[in-house]
Amino acid sequence: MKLPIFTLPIFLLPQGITRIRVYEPRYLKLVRIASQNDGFVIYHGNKTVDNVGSWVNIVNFEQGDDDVLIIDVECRSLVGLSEFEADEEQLSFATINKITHWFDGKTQQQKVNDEIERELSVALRAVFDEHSVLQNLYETKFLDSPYWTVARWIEILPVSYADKRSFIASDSYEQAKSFVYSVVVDKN
Amino acid sequence: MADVQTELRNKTVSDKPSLMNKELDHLQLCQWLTAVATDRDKQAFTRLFQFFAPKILRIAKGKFPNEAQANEVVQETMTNVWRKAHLFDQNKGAVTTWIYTVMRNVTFDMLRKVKSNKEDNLSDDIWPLAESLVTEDEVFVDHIENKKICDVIAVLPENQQQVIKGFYFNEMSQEQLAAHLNVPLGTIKSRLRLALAKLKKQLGESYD
Amino acid sequence: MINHHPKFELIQAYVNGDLPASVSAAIKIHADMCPECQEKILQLTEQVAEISFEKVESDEDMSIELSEQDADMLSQILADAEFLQTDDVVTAEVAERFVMFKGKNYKLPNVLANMEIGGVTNIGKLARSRVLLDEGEIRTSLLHIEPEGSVPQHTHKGFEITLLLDGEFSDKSGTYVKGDFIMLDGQHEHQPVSDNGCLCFTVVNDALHFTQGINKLLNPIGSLIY
Repeated sequence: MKLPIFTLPIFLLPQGITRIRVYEPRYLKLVRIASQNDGFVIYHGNKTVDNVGSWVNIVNFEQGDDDVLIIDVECRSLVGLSEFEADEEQLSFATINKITHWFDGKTQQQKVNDEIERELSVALRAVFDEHSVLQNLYETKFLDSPYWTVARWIEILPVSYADKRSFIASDSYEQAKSFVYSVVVDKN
Repeated sequence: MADVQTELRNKTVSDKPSLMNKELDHLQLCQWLTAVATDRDKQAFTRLFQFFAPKILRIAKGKFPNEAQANEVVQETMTNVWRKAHLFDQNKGAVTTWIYTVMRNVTFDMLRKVKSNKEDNLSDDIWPLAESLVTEDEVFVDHIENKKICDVIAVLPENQQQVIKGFYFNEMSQEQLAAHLNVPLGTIKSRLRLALAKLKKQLGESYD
Repeated sequence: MINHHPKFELIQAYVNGDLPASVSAAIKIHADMCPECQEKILQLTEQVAEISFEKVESDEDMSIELSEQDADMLSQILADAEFLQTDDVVTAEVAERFVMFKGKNYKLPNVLANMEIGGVTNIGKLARSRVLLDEGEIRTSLLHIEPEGSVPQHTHKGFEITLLLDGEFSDKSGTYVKGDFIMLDGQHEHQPVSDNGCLCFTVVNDALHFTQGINKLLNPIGSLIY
C-alpha cells in the first residue's frame, strides 16, 4: 500500500495522538487523500537515519485562524517505508510495511506489575492533569497500562529522535521503561 | 510555562532585552555569547558585561579583601569570556555554567598566586573550559533548546508562538519538564544525559 | 570497577574552587575515569552557577547605563581584545606528557600536563617523584610501586589521598583499581601492597608515622616516601 507522507520530526508510537497544524497546499492535499483513504504517514524525513514512520489516522479536526487546518492524528502502527516518490506538488508517497512493536496488542490487557510502572503511571497522570493540550487530545487514557504509559512518556520527553528511535525495536520495552524511570523519578 | 511566555514577550515587544527578569534568561545569554564567539559582536559582549560584571564583582569581593584584586577578577574573567567564547558549547551546558567556570578559574589562579607565589595557571587543566564528557561519542543534544530554537523562536509570528507555549512537536521542553517535576533545569539536563548514557551502554551490551 | 569516590563535601569544595591544586587534580583525575562523579560535578556546577548569577535585590537599580568605572573597564577589555584577536587563538588542546619509572613509560593525566615534576627518588621497590606545587605542608607525588612492593604500615596525622593511575594495590580493607580515589585520615592504619606493581598520584598533608616494629626506625624517611 502506498500512502502520502507528512514530513515532521515527531516520534509517535502506536496509540499516540498529536495535533498538527496544516497550511501548506501539499499537506492540505495530503489531508484530503488521507481522509478518503487509509490515513497517512508521519516521517522525520531523514533517510540516512532510518525509514521508519508512524502510520496515522485523522481522529479529529477543526478550522483554526488564518486558514490553518488543525488535525489530531492517532498512530495505528509503526511502518517501514520504501519506494519513495513525489508528485508535482512535492508531496511524497511511499510503500508501507507494518513493523511489529512491543506496544502492539498490549493496551488493556496489562496492568502495572511493579513499583516502577506504578510510579511512572502516577507521574504521567500528573502531566496530563497539568497540560490541558495533552488532556484534551486523549479522549481515553490507559494510565493503568504500563505499555501505554511508557509509550506516552517516550513521546513527550525532550530527547532527540535519534535517541528515541532505540525504542522502535520490538524488544525495547524494558529499556524504554528504565530510561523513562531514570529521567522522571529521582532516586537520590 | 510562565517563564517561556515572559521570554517570548521580551523578544517581541521590546527590542531591548530586559535584564530585569527574575529568572535567568538562558536563551538570551546563549544568543549573546554565541554572537561573541562567531561574530565578535561587541554589542552582545557589552550586554554580557552588563549582566555578569556586577555579579562577578560581588562574588570576588567575598574571596579577596582587596578591592583592586576583586576588580582584577572581573576584568580577567570578562577578558577570558571574550577570548575563549569559541570554547563554549551550548549543547554541553548553560552560559551561566561556562562563565562561572571562567570566573572560578581566574579566581583560583589568582589565589594560588597569592598563597603559593606560583603563576602556573593550572585552573584550565583542572576545570577545562571546553570540557569533553566521558561519554564523548554520546554528545547530548537538546534539540528543543539548542540553536535551532534559539534561531527559530525569534521569527515565529505571534499566533504561532502558541506552539512553543504548549508542546513543541508533541514534546515537552526541558524547562517544562523541570517545572513539572519541580527540580532545577540542571537536574533535568543531567538526568537526561545519564539516562542516555545508560541506555547506550545497555544497547551496546545487547549487541555485543 | 571503580569503587572508591571522593565524598560529596569534597566534590562540592572542588566545584567551588576551594581546594588546593593537588586535591583538585586528584578529583579531576578520578572524575575523568568515573562518569558518576563527573555527572555530579556537572550538575553541581550548573546549580552553583545558576545561584551565583541569579538576580539579587541590588540589581533592581541596575540601569542599562554602566558606571564610569565599568565603562572604562569594558572599553579597555574591548581595546585589548581588538589587539588580541588576530594572533591569540586559544585552543583547548593539551599536550600529552609521559613519565618514566623503572623503564616503563606512563602517560600522565591531562591535568598534570603543566605541573612541575621533580626527579625520581628510589627506595627499594618504591620510586617517587614530587609534583612541585608549593602548597606548604601538603605534598604531592607520583609514587611507583614495583611488583610485590609495599609501603610500610603507617598512619597519618593529617590526610592521605591516593589516586591509582595504573595497576592495582591492596591493603587490609580490600583491593583498589585504576581510578579509585582513596582518602584516609589519622584514624586509619594501613599497609598497601601491590602484587603486580602500580603508579599512584598521592597527596598527603603531614609526615607519615610508621607504627610497626623495625619500621619505627624508618620514621625519618616517611616524608621521603610520600
